[in-house]
Amino acid sequence: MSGARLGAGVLGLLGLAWAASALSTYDVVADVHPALASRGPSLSHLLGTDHLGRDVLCRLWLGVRAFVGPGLIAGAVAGGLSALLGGLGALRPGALRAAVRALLTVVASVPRFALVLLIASIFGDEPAILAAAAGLAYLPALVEDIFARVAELEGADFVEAARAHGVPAFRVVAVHLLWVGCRHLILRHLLQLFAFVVVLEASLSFIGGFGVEEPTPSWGNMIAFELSAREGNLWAWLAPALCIQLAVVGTLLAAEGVRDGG
Amino acid sequence: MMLSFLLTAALAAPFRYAEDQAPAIVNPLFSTSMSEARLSELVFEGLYTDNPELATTPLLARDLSMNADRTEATVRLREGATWQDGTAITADDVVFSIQAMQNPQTASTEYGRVEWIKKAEALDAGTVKLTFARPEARPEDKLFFKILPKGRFAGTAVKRTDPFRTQPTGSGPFRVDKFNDDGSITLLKNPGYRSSVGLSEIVLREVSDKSYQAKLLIYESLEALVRVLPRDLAVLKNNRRVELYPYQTNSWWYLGFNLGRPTGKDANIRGAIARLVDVQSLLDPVGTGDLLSGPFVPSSPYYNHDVPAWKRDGAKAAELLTAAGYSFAAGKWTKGGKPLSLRVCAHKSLESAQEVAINLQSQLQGEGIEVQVDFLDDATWKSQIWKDRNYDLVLSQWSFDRNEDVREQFHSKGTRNFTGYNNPAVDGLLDKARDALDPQQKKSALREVHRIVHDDAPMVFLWTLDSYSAMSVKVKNVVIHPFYFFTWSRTWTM
Amino acid sequence: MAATVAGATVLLHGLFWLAPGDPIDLLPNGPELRPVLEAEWGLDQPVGVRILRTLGAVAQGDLGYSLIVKPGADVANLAAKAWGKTLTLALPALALCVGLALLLAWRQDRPRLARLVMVSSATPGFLLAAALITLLNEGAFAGMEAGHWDRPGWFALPDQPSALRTALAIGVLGLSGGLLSEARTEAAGLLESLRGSAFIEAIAARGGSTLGPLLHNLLPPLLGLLSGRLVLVLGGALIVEKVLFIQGAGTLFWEAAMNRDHPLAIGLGIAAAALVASGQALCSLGRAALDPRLRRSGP
Repeated sequence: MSGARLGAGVLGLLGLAWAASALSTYDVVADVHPALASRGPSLSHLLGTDHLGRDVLCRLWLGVRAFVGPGLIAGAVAGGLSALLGGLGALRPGALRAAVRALLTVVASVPRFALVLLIASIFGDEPAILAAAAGLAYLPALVEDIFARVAELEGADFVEAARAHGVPAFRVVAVHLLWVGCRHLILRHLLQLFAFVVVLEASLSFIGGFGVEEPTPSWGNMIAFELSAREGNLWAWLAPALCIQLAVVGTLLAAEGVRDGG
Repeated sequence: MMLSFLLTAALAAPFRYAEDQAPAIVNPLFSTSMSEARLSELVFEGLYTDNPELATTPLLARDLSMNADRTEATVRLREGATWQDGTAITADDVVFSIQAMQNPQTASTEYGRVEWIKKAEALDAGTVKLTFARPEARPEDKLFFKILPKGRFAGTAVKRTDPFRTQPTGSGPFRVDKFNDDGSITLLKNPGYRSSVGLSEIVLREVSDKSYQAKLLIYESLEALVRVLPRDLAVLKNNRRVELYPYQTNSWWYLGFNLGRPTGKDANIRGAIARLVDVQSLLDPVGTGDLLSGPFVPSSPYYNHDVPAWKRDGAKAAELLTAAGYSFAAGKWTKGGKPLSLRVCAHKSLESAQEVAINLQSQLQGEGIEVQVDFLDDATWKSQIWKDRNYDLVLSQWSFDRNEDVREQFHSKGTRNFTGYNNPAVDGLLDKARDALDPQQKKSALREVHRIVHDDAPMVFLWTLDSYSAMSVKVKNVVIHPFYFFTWSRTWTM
Repeated sequence: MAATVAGATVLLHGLFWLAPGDPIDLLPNGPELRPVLEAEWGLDQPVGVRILRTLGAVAQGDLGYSLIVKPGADVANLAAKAWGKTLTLALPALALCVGLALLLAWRQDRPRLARLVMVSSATPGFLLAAALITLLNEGAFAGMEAGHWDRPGWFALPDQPSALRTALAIGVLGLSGGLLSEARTEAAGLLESLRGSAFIEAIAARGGSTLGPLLHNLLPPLLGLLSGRLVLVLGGALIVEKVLFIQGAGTLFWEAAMNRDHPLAIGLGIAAAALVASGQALCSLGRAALDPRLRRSGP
């Protein structure tokens, strides 16, 4: 499926950019050159400069850090907690599953953005906290799907066979139900969560107040910074916007590809 | 009849002006922003005000007489002055206003305006006697604070949540009609006002999207912009339907140190930073203006023109940092293994502060000093800067009315002295300036303050920006007060 | 529904009370208000008691009062007005999204259309809103400046509430953030299972029109689709309102969060949960009314 390949390609590119950014020697602070403000693309600045004379391409590249790390953290939180809750629900259906369901219904009734903002407002807006909040807000959808899939698989042959062989219940749940049965499902959801984190981070830093703040670049705050200038370099805000779109679409295409596979 | 109909139609057109942020409340006791101050100017009046030549002139007062040693003044109120609801303004109202401002339970932000009055009493309905804490040269210059109606309040301990704030009663040429759903405020002409009022309706619009403010004026969605952004000046200058007026509010930008911290306490470090910052290059991307060497605008009588602004002097700065115990190694200034690191805080809503702060960070890093920049919203600013003093450098702006009273910023007991500056010599000079009966004495005292404060450098004085307000040419008879904007708006017509 | 609101109250207040440190310190003007708040919030009592008290208050419709954004104003009042304003955007957006999704899903075998919808609807709300409003305004201004047209009657400059901005908000809310694409996928799935169902095939075999029965049987799951999307649209409103300068619950929530006005923010969150829960309850009732099978088998 070419869509999935495109998606995987985008994800790969993001991952590469993120890893490479750790080795980058670009100094965000030192690059301020008011004399070179708002120049168009040239050999020395492939995408031109913003209205403080900073190189757009380098900031674009470093902007990847704003969401890849948090995206991974959110994924870990959501993936770990969902496996835990899903496993508990599978081990002890009935009252425990109902209790977990009720809790998740409550979490799901508060809009995700609102929950994340509220948590950020109370606990502080460090990227790790925002990421954990995003993972938590995304949990209900994921766990519901896991419960549904586990219920489907309860009567499946391979599960019955495992039980008949005397495999302990915990192993049945962890390996057979969750890993074999649900891993594609979980991966798809985690990719969708990653796309959510990209949008969340970009929205928060665009609107300002939460999220990554100047001078650290993030694709959202790059757009906001340039929009407040008058005659700017077009690429200074167009490039981050296109990148956001590409990242989100690529991730969602990849998620769709997993759906097909699982 | 057609003519009168047309005239009526013309008179009915509202005068719409834009502020970055509409005031949340209309209560002069709790004014914290310039937009609140400007709105109060339309709705309330003081005993005295400025005339268009910027000389003090009576407004609610009729005249003032003092005793021999200038510790008491008797103020007679204007006859026939009324509140917007028709009741007469009496001496009780004046006494109430002063006491409310002074009452610690009110916690009024305007307390400083009346702390020099020891006692106020109503001798009769139209006469107030004021007793001062110290002899006063010209008390009428300080009687500009707004008078409030005693009858609208339960007592002199006024709460912030008092309903007065959304249903104010003043004595001015305009009254607040309603707070609209979209955040705008409508004011109507006060029909009982003692003189004629040109405009029949004023609307204050909050236009938080700054990139559209100038366009709104050009396309006649507004009649006035209180502060024109530097980037819109060129466009508005060329537009024939818009007139620009200088509106400077005696404001200047500064970098304030935190003298409670080791980096701020050491005069060597402060002196070094003052000599490392390239102020002109910080100003250029932001707008045009004049660089400063002290806490007044260059056009002020108190500005000491003998004191030059700091010049970039890398060698001297290095000397000072070395004297402070730092050594330059691997591109950084370090002391005891730790690099010299400063946290600069700027207020989010200060236009262009972001550009200046990022530029400053880059400059100082190039000189080997680490800088971390934080942009704070209003709530965090109040708590971190004013309350906790949790910063190393603060990038901000002060505005002053024509008294240019810098006492609160530099006196060791000043209410706005959050840098923690304490110099007994400056305290003495500020006291002398406050008590001076001779304007020349006041001038020389403040000029000396300028010199000392420049040398001590509790702040790096940056610049005063060329500031303008813009008005549609439809508005006639416009004279703008350089600080309060609306003081003479009674005569404006459209 | 009451359970959800109670749960949301416990969750949001729980987050607040259980945050490290003193809740009063979390407020910027905390120290000034400490004596008042300590008594009101009952800080000397354990968290459980405080939460119970809050539950009692919420049950009576008391969500506290705002401390910073609009000092002294009743939160329940503010929340009702604000969410009311937002619903005038959110409900049409929801209808638009589901309606369009249905239309797009009607024709089977359109993988390229599906792909296109997915790509365009994946645009983040803030980006689409900012881009559209800037393009429209700049374009209109450019046209006015070039003398192509005078200030057109239909065009309202961005500071005023206008039909154009409202329409833009509804459009962006309904069509961005992946909502349309997800809805289309779900609708396609629904249609496919319905089309493949025995009774539809039987009608088709007899040569009758399947449109009527199809639509009729689509309604109940459609209600389910609507109720599922409601919380997402409300969340999107948080961003879209802020970017388009519309004064609704979204903008108010931002103000509350930025100014650390926790009672207001939590109150708005609880009100949102109440809205979502009532939406779900209404849709369930609707489904039960439309689908006799649900009535027989119970909820």
